[in-house]
Amino acid sequence: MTASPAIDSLKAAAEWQRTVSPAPEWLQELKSASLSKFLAAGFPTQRAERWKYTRLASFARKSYALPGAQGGAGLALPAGAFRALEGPRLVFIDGCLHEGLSDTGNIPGLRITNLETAIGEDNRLVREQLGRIADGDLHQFTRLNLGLLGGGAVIEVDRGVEIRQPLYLLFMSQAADAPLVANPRILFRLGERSSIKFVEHHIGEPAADNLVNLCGEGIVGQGATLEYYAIHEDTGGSCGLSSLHLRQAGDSLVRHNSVSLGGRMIRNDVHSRLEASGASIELHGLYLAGDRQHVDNHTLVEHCAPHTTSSQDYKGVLQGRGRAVFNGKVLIHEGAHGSNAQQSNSNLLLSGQAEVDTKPELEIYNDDVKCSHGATVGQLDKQALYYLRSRGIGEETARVMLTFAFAEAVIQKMAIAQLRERIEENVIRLLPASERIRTFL
Amino acid sequence: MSDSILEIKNLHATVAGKSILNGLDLAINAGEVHAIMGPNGSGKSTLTHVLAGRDGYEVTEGSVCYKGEDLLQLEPEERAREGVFLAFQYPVEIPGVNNVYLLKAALNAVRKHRGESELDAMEFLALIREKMQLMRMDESFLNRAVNEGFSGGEKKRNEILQMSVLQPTLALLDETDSGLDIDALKIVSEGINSLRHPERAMLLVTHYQRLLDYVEPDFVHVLSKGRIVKSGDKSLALALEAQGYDWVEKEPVSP
Repeated sequence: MTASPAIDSLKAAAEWQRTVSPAPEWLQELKSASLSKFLAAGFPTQRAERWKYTRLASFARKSYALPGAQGGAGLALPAGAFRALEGPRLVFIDGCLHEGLSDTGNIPGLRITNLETAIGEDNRLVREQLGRIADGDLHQFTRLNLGLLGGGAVIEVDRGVEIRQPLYLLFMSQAADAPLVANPRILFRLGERSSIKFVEHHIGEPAADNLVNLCGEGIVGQGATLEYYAIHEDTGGSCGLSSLHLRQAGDSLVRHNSVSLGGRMIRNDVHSRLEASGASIELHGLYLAGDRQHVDNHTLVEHCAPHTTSSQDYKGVLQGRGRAVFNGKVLIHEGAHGSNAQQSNSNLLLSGQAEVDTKPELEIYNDDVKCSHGATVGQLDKQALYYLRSRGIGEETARVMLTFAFAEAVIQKMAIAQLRERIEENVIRLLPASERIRTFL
Repeated sequence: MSDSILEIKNLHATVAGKSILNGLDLAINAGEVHAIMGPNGSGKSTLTHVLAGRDGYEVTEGSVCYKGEDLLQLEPEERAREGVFLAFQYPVEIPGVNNVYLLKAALNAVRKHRGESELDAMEFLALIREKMQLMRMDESFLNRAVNEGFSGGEKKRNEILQMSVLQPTLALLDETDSGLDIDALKIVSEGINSLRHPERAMLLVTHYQRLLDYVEPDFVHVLSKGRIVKSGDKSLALALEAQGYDWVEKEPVSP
């Protein structure tokens, strides 16, 4: 029932991988079990609730190959990389960690290990964490990721250590003779009261039509702070799946900023479990989609303990025939009293053909909690438009100003100035009337 | 006699099908400060929005002549460029638009309309800093989003700052005193007074007499059920404060 060119090719890829780069037995078992489950279910169709508005049929019809070995000395840092960011970086080309382009920086208290090396050394964190945080029933593609495990990294921050420079994770998707399937995996653990910033950045060649399936699994320790940026710039014709799975200890704080600026198909999943009192997560998202572009953001925040806090604020600007999906779910478990959850999603539709499906969901198994959610889809704020016009600003300029402002309000939440500037410039370029926006900045 | 700035004749207006203004007459000359007082729902705010050109405020009868021209024909931005300025009762919060962008875009739009050159960044900042000092506003204000997270007092000061930058011919101040503590009221009043000018007219809309202790009007009008039912000098405001609006509303309308 689930046979498709993609499924057949993935099966063959797994065979090939097992032959040319066999994994230790325990891992091979894990991989095989995981892959079989994925293959049995096949690519999710729109009959699945979590994929109702996102159609992967065209990607299920492709035949995928594994990327060839990387590490060639000739390759330079791709043009689209954030060169202005200073700090350690890991560069993944089609899902494979490229050590020549990467720089782990030798920062005290921060240990970064190539996943392959870590597996070879029987690293404890890999044993304890790989496949244990991501829920395969909810996130099928994490099973594919594990089944065809590509490159990856294991990142540990020692207790009490504050890493000031952001860790840059670049994922580059190249055009190849045949579509590639890339399955990079990031495992991390933040020790008690430690802090770090991650910048996950996806770029792709316009002609690339790969399946990039990133999975991140992390534990944020007691009182630790994780600032996470997940940025998709135009990834060409590829299908970019990025999922992040977190477990948060007491008093930990996660600030997640997601920015998706176009690509044939982008799907972001963030799933966090707030497991002890005082844990909190803030999610801010911005997405732009135009013709032949689809962006889907799915979030799931589980309040498992009392006095846990979450907020979600996603904003989208859609043009042409752009499509977007937002599904934000908050689950307040029994016993998680005194929890506070807020959620909002607003969308600006600049054309009559653009479409957004938004679904904020709250599931509460508890009294004594504070929750709110809301979603809007529509045009610019009429009051704001009137206010600007009453100051002499022409209607067209006022519209352009407010459209930019809608996106800018999310960009301003980002704490890294170099990122803000770059994103701002890209957003201006993607919006209508770029030149006019520049005149008032 | 001074030049006429605004002449409103028999103005009728509806909002969402409900008639709010019912034959309002008012004439304001250059250099004059008029105050309009009245109970809630009498049409004070509606009048200011009709003059500023807000969508959904429909004029069904009467005329508004501004500097000899039909004001009602103009779009809101054209009115602003011609020198009409409305200080909002509830200034709108606009996340993502910095104050400095708004001020620059507004000033340059007005200057362009007047046939003046646009200010460069240095000239603009020098001008803004001078005006901000007057309103005792901190430099950091420039890079904050318009009215976002501002206190009531900050919002009102911001309105007067914009007014002092744009230098209007006709200033409409809609309940600028509401929500202000005494210190903020003083700053705002000083700002308004500094803008009194022989070539400028002002219309203060207020519910209370309080503001008029600081900004002395030349004329006071009482609005009731969409019409001006009584006009006088500043002593009228004091009488209203003492006796309440019932007193004028019950009196027969003077011809």
